[in-house]
Amino acid sequence: MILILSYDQYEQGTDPVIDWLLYYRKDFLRVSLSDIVRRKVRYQVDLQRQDILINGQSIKEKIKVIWHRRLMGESLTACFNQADLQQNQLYQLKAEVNQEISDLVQYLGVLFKDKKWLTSFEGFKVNKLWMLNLASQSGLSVPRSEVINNRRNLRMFYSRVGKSMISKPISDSREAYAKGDKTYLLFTNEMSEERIATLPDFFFPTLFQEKINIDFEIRTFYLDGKFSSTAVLNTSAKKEVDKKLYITSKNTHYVPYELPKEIEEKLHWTMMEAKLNTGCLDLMKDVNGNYIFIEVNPIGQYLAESERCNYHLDRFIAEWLIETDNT
Amino acid sequence: MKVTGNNTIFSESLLQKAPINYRYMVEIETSSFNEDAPGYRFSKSHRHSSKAFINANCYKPISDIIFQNFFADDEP
Repeated sequence: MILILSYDQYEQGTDPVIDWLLYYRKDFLRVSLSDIVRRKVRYQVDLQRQDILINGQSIKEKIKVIWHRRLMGESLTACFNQADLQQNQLYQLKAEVNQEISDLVQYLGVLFKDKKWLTSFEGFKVNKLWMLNLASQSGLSVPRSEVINNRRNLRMFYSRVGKSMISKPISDSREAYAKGDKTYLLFTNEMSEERIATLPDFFFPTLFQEKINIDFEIRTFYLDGKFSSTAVLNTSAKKEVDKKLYITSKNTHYVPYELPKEIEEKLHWTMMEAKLNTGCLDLMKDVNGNYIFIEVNPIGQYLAESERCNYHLDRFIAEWLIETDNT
Repeated sequence: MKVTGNNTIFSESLLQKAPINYRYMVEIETSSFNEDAPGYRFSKSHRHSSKAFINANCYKPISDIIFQNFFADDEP
């Protein structure tokens, strides 16, 4: 049986795969964080037998393959009524409850460690800086990057990269801040002399990279050695430094793309070293024809490129899960 | 997505303690921010048959053409 660990509600990458599992009449069990913390389903984790019983039935032997997709991303603290607690108590309670459930989920990963995973708990949150190192070791080109905490070193790095530089979060920070009728987000920023001049002598450590003279971006969905790549062509006169700012523009075109075999082999090596069997890879092709590795998101969204390029990746994932479960 | 500029919602004293990216946050009109409510979705799952999400239909015919095919004539 297939175990799917995902959101209880809207998670655009999960449900289309489940539709295909239903179509193929394949047994699966979908578990969300809500299922674990709410009082809907009767279950127990038996540490002596190292087993999980749901409604009194053992599932450990039945499960052969696990598709782990954003289990811990779901908010489980919405049930806390802010009016019942002072602000500092609320923060502490949320942190403590999150840690409790995080440790429980970590143990579930230990119980199921001998199963076939599509993104293990360890691989779920890869380090962006380490991935740049791995990609570089594979022979891929990567942007020159430094984490800097002071203006003096930043100015020197700015000169070394030809005064063409960006800053971006080290982690995958994508939470939105709502304020009135405006929403605020962190994206990749272009750095200039003027911006550097306004910074204090010392600041919080921040990731800086050379800005690539880009021809176009490439988004690649990777699953168990197979690549499905999409070129994101933007015909706007003004190029943004972050593609998220123009993904829905009418000047953005998604086209099926085939990476050179040599690049795919290096990406495959990188993924193997990171112990990832799936992920969405971001690359750039610069104006000189070089392919530059940017980052990988192990649980990235794939449906937009899949739909626009007719890749049918939802069906591909479902068939991979079924095939793995049957072997 | 309607971007209205780069701005920050934090005070200078807070910015001193945060990565510099928070100084250049992208300001978007909430009504146009796809991830918050309206926007595209790319599946036809019944679970997602919500009025909050607009279904994006496939807009190009199914073919095996890939980007490089457009340049095939230029290759030796």
